[in-house]
Amino acid sequence: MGLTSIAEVAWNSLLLVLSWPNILYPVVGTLIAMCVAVLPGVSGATLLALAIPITFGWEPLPIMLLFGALVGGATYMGSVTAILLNIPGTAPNGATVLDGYPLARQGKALTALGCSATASALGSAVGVVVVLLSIPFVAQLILHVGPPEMLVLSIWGLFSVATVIRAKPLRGLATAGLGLMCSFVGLDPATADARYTLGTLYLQDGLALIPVFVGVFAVAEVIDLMASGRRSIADEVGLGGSLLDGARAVFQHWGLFLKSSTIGTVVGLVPGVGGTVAAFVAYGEASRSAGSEGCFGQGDIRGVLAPEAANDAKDAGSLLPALALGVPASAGTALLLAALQTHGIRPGAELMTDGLELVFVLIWSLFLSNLLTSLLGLSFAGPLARLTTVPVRRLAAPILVLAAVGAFSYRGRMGDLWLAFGFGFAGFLMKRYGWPRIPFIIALILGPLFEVNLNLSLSLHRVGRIDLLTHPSILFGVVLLVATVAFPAWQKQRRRRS
Amino acid sequence: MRRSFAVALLLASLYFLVHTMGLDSPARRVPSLVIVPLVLLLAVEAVRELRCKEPPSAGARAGARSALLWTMALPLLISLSGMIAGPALYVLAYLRLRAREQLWLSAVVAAMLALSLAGLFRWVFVVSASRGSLLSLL
Repeated sequence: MGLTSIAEVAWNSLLLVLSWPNILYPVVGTLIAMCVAVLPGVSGATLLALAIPITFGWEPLPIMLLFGALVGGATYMGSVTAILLNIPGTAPNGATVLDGYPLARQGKALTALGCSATASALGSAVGVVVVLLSIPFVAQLILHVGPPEMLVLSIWGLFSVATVIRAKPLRGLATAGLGLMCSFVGLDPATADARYTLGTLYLQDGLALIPVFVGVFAVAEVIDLMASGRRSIADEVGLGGSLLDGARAVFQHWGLFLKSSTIGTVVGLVPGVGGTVAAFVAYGEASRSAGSEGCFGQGDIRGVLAPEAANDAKDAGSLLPALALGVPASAGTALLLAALQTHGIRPGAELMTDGLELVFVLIWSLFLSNLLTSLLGLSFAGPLARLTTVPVRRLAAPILVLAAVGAFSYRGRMGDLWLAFGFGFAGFLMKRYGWPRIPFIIALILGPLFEVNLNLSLSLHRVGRIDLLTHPSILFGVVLLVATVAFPAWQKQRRRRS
Repeated sequence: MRRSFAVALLLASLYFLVHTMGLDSPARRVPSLVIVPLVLLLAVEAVRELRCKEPPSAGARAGARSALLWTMALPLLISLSGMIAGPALYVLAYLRLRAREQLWLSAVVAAMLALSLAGLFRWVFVVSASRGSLLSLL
């Protein structure tokens, strides 16, 4: 199928989505998703799980419209709580917390919300365009991504740790090492040996990301707020900044925006990786490319822009492996596949040719939902930002309860609740005594990806399937790593000379 | 506390080291790349912390202790009285005792929270609410 006919199908599906009464599904779905996804731990996947039984008797078209809206609506709201309350709604929003909340503490919650909404909407648009252009060769592309490519991606992401620990390099490396060791907790992926589980069954599944994020950021922050005696989150500075400044930041850093959106879409295309890796790799790349000019981790607007653009751009990309190959890229797309198969829609070549209109309906619904959430987010940003001026003595208990509910509702285990509060205590001590938390989180996320793909790559090398020393992806990865280190150094040197 | 935390991190890394040495060869391949430099780094940091003088901060320590106690009370209450009654009791106690709000206001907020949580666990969350160890006995 040529690009012209694909564009034609895409246009027709857009008209179908915008027609009456079809437009009601994405609008209502987005509103429902926005209201419910304010609760931490409620992701697009949770909403899809709830919606599947309701949609049993529906036609495929409204199902695609509703499901796209539910995923899109849930993605944005997680970043609102991340920026305002330091509670990442879903795991990918963990990257938004790193600079979004410091901005809120500086009284720039409106700027951060404006930037997040604009980057989300435009990132989603970039994702749709990249997907549209890659449909003719997507199946081939996905099949070429293997362990060596994933290994390069994980090393590239881990490399970003170096750029966020400049102030305290030894402690930064130590917390990154602790993050890696914590990521190895659970059953070994190759041998199923129990590692660092303290003899418990609970830890055999590994450390769940949502409770750890909720603990390290939200719980730790509440303890710090209560202990420090601050009156409110934006205590010293009051409420400043503007939505326009935030939206303008996306256009000022358009290069970074395009790079982050592309990272998000490409990572989204890779099955089994997901938005968390996309957001953190984009954050790391933003921090690295900023060099010494950035103040990442202390309230740099680029630290909000990059993960938000990547997280929303990945949504469109993650649909393709699911729909083209039947390989889900995330929990959300796995549920989507299950729902489609219940209705007799089978993923594969047939869906990508004869059923392409349905695929585009899903993508447009997702895009429309992202656009709508951003517009609504911008409209409600003012009242929402006022949360940062509410006295801590009134806000602390609700935030803690929200954090507890978020940690528990993720899997329904009391262990997750204790894990969140345990990591909250550790996170508070790390913050108070100057142990950086960002390297810990980045290493915790990328550790499993690194380990699994290193083992697989070494096994493939051992049996002669690939040669690691001459494999094009590894060579490309080495060139990429050298370039990402050398280029900022070269730029710095040139600037100093001039 | 500053020193104790640095030493606690070192002890945690030593646990990881001892456990890594006891693992079979394939399972310890990647962890052993990380753990040895980690122990060294944390040892350097712990020694550095032990050498420098800890500034006296009795007031800040008392504030932190109180904040920690209030924070850890929540999971404890939830473990005892469940995911609906626990947060409600916590909010009632917190608003009345720490935030010094009026009793009727604290009670109304706690009751509304309990109702909202009951609704959320009934219709929104895919997991059921824990009843807590005390309520399970009844």
